[in-house]
Amino acid sequence: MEDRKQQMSQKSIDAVFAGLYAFTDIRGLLRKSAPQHILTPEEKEQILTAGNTIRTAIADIERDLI
Amino acid sequence: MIPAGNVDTRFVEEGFINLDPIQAAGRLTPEAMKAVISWGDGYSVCDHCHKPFRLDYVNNPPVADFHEEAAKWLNMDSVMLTPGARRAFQVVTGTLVGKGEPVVMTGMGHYTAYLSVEVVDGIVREIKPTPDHHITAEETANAIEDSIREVGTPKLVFVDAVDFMYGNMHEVKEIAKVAHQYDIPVLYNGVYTVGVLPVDGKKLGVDFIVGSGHKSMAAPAPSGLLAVNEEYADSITRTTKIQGNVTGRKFGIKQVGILGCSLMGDPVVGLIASFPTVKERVNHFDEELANHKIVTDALMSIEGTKVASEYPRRHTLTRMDTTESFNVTAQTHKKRGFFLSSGLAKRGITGIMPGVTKQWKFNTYGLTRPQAEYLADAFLDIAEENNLAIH
Repeated sequence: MEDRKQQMSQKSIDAVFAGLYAFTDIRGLLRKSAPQHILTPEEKEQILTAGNTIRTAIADIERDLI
Repeated sequence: MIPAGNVDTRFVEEGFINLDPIQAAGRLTPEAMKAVISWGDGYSVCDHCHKPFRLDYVNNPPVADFHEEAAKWLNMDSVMLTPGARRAFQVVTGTLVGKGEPVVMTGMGHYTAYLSVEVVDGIVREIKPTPDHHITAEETANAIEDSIREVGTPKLVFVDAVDFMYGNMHEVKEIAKVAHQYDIPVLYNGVYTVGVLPVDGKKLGVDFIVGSGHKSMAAPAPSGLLAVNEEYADSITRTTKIQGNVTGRKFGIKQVGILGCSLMGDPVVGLIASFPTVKERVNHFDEELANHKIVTDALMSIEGTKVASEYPRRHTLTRMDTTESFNVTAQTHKKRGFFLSSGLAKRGITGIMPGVTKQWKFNTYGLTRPQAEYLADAFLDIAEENNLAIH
């Protein structure tokens, strides 16, 4: 098990879930604001935060796996 | 829209206000949506299943804690997870009801309540609803007396806290009191209440509480729970005694009533992940009713429109009667009765049965205030567009 831990790319795994969860936060905001999707300033801020998390996650994955 | 393999991507909740009466309180929380991403694999919750190899002993994810907390939350003595409310009904009837034995139940119950009696070859004895669609303690007593006289003492009284037909609230506490005078246990069917509004088993004086995860606890289907008071805990959660006659195999402490481990993967993890939010949201049911009122007030301002459910509303699932308003329009509209659902769809609203304009149900549970206001305006717009008078 320890050997397997050393082999797996924990950074990429973490990044995949961080990205998916950030996308889920955006999904939640779409649900709360359907059907017009008019967001409050606070919700717009949350979109920006989620976007940053997603971008960081992708960068981490690319650095780690490519 | 990009499909998920050979399955379309569903975006009803992201793109629309969904008024489907059975779907409203089962929508996942963001926490549940996240949890199901990583726990979707078949036996995922069994990663950390150790001796005695039973679901309610699993600590990661915190299934064991959930059992304890849910029992405390409902003020009952123990909880069993089930794949939906219907399986909880079946566990109870399978434990208490034998062939030819009667169960008294509301005449406004879900069909699976009836089937849960049929599967054990029991007999259903209905409680007559009042003309205004309520189940009363008085009529329950009559049903019990009739049953005793005609087929025997009922083994169970099964009562819906809020029924699916009208969203009416029924006098469970009084019914439980009556049933207990005959020493008959009471099952509280809370599929529209557990996870939606506060439920206290001891205050209600009931013996069983059934909740639906996918209907009212923001969990994936099929999920549900059966909460039991101390008196019936041993019989409901009885463990296996069977032994193979050739191999001599035995099966540890698996529970017989629910056929062992009941709820795995996404349903149980979603249920657990939503639970903190669900526990909190029941304390804000007054806000849900306030949002609902915005919509029913708008609807009732359309001449000829009535609420067919009890009024004032005590639940967000409501049956409207638009026989004298939208249904009048339907007689001459080129889309006939479909004009209403089509008009709503055009405005990003779904969940009302297409083509129906006489009596129809909707549920606003979980809508935000802006969504409730938008919905109210949409109904008024449709009325105006079709020259219905608004007061």
